[in-house]
Amino acid sequence: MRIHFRFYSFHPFALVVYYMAILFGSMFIVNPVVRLEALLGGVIFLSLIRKRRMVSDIWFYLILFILIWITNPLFSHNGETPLFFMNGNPVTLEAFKCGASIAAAILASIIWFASAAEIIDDEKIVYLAGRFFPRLGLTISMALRFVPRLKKDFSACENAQKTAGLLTSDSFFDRLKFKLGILMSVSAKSVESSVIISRSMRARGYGMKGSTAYSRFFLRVSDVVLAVVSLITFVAEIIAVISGKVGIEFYPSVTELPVNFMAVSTYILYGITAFLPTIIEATEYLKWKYYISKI
Amino acid sequence: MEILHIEDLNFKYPDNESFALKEISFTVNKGDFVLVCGRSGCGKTTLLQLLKPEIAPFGEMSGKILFKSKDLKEGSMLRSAREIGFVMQSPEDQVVTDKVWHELAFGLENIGADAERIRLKIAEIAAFFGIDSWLTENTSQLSGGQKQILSLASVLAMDPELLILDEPTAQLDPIATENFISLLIKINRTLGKTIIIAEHSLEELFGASDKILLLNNGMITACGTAQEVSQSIVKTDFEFLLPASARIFSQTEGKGMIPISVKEGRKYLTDLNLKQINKPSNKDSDKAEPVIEMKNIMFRYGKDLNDVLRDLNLEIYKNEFFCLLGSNGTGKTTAVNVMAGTARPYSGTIKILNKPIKSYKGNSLYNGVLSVLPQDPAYCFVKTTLIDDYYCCCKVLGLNRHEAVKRIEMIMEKLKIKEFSTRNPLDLSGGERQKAALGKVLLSQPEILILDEPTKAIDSFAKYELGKFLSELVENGITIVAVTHDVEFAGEFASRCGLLSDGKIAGVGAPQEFFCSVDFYTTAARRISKGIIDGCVTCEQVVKACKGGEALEE
Amino acid sequence: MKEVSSLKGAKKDIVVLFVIFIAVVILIKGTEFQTVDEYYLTHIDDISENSKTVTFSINCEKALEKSEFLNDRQRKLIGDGIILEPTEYVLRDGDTVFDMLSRVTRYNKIQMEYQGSDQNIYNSVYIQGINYLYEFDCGETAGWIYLVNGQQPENSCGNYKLSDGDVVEWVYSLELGQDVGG
Repeated sequence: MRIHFRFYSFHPFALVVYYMAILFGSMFIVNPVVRLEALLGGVIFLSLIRKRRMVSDIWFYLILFILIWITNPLFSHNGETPLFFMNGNPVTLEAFKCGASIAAAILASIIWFASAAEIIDDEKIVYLAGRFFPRLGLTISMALRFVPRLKKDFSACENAQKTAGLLTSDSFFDRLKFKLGILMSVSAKSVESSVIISRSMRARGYGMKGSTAYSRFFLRVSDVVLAVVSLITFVAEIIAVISGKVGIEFYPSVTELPVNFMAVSTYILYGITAFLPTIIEATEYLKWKYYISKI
Repeated sequence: MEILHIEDLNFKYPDNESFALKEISFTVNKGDFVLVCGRSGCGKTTLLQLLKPEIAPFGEMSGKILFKSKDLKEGSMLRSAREIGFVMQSPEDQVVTDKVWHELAFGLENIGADAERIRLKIAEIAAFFGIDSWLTENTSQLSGGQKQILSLASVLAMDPELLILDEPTAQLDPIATENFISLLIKINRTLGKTIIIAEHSLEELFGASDKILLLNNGMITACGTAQEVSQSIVKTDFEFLLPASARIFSQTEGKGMIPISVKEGRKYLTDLNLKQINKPSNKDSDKAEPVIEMKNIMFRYGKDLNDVLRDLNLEIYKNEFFCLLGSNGTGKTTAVNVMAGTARPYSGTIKILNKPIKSYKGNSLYNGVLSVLPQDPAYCFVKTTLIDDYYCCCKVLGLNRHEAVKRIEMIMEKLKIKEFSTRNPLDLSGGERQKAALGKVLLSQPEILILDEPTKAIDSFAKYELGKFLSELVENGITIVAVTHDVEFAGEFASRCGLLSDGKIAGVGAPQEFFCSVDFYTTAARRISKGIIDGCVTCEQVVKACKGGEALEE
Repeated sequence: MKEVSSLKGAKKDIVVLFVIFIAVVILIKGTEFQTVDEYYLTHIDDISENSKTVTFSINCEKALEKSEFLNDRQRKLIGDGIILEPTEYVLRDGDTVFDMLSRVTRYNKIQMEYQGSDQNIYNSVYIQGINYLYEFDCGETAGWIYLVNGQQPENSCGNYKLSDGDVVEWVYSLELGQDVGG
């Protein structure tokens, strides 16, 4: 699965910087080139990760895109080219274009978040949290351990109560009462088990001064490269946003696509960044093909 | 060399009249394997917890505990954390973090080891325990046996000199128990770690221990090597603690060295020079009408997951005590859920009392027809006192106050749990809680009682009591289906056994033919007597056969 | 692994909720569609001797002071800041300032966007932008206000009824109306 992806094995810090750069650009640079890059790069990479699952999701993303797209003209009536009037307010071409841009930004963000959720897994989150707040790291780790347990407990308890004949009717309130009873039973049990958990933690020296945080991650050259590339892109994005020379305006009429130095370099930098995961996976794939042919 | 020296230790819990531990004195040498045994509530856990200052219970303590000739209380926390390891009973509760590697690193992080050392330690421990392949797994996906091994490994990663284990296999199936115990023995033998373990499944451990400590009511009743302790408790109330070989020896009035292991037991039996006679008869239980019929049951938990039950066919007859055996992960609990109607198979039919299970509407199935005792009896209770809980259940079952009082009275009388009626069910001990839960599921006066792992986490004494009680129920016309991995229990009490494997029934029969047809998954008495006296499954049968044999020889 | 077939679970919910949301919005706002030509086809009465009239003007000179906030296109559209010179229009009985503005902008094909009285918490008509110059375009306190005979009325333009001879000025203010009129 995702574990076989080269991109998955990057250091959490590098990945966080990377996703920050990508998401900042896709959200705050109002420019069709950047948004298209973000969208395409995101979709291709996510399909690489999800493979068949992505096929069904494409429909979802498409419908979502259209819905966001047509929502904008319903609310925004600015623009020099009215197509028709609705309740006395113009529905304009510019609003449609702006809607497409917003939809692209939102969709790109959703898709990149989806891939981030696959790539930055629990272990990386625990690590990142633990680096800054060691207690928080452990708390998240314990919570991740606790939730599946609670689910299991809940269904075991539900079965126990059901077979004791405690679920009598189909009435909503009876069911609610039933579930509340289970919740009580389960929580009573978790109080009991939390005593044991804390004992187990103390027995292994928890709470002493000078504890360390171990992780299986260490920084490689490739991690530094990814982080630096992302950081450069991030800085370029911030300059682009502040200078205002890269963004386009939709109202009253759509401004021309900027092709100044700053704009072009932003396109190139962002393009590289957005397609980086795909490029990495592709080279990895080719490398493997080459190795196998050697064997 | 002495590693632990305990002198005149007394301990009393606050708000408690009697002493939990009285005049305890013993020493443990470096590299010893010490077994602490005794009935539930004899003070085993208290004693072990006092040896680990971080989790020592509050109360009045007098006497001395010297660890490496220094008072335990004076040592630093770091020393205790590092040098004394403690493994607890519940596999679920003592695993703290979400990843296996993190669990291994947890203790080392706490004592401030640096990353290099932790990495090396994890690698080393993982190799020693053979857990390399699941190092990156989530802990929630592990089986109970794996969790216990992980707990042991994560304690051992801190390289303690003394390892204390409080009933670590109580909730494991026999195969997992054996794995765990052989790991412990390996740790003791090859690493020279001192181990103190409290256990109630003693069959394996008895012979492997250097020293055995028998506690009763907080006092040491016997202390010494396996042979010494066996000699001193043979023919006493504690005989049931002994391994099967020793019990057979005692009941056949053997003389001399007591056989402890299966190997010694076989030697003893062979030396008796018995002729194969007085074979216990195989009384064929006349096939009564089936009360549960399962046909071609197929079950899985998700569309893309594997089948848990595959073509399961099973008939349970009226008035029998059926034990469904199988190791963990073979679908036993799923089979119970399917039988009880809480899990719906995607294919196949189930009939309860000749009616399809789907035709039972509302709670009609659970009111007088079928009851289930879940694996964890704690799930049964919703109220804060036992009696409230029972009344609540009766109300749901549609009994009026008068009937309810009568029925509760009767059940509490039968189970002898009246004294607990005003206590919180969750405050009861394992065995007591199970009885209370059993009482609750019997309130509906079911015709069929299904039990999921009823012998888990109760000691051999309570197990025997439970077996007797269930047999009484069967005599009174109730059909019992128990899902268990406890072969000894099944051999002793079942009227018919089935082995579940790979989602279907691999074999079924009366205990004698069943356990005699399998070679590994069988009772200790059978392993001892196999080839010498055929057809014996329990110690009693072996003894009877021996006595019969002697009688004929004369 | 789970979502092999088409839309499922939460994703389906999101789509359905979104569709319902849009449907509700359309229902509330009504669905009166007009083509561009229909919309601008407005009848303005000819001024005769006994017709009541008001003088109407639209002016955004103030925005020029802060033209750095605007984009090139907006600057070009604003020009010298006078969008509509003071002009006399016939007043129909019961006309509010908003009615007049609506008619005048349509007649002169001047873009105007408003928020109807049903769309805000004040239950009053609010003018968001005229001639592509919108509120907040020149800072947080910038927006369109109106003056009648040099005074800034208290109530909304949808409620203010005009009378014969009134002089109505729509002005783009940079400071909530403090910088214009009396």
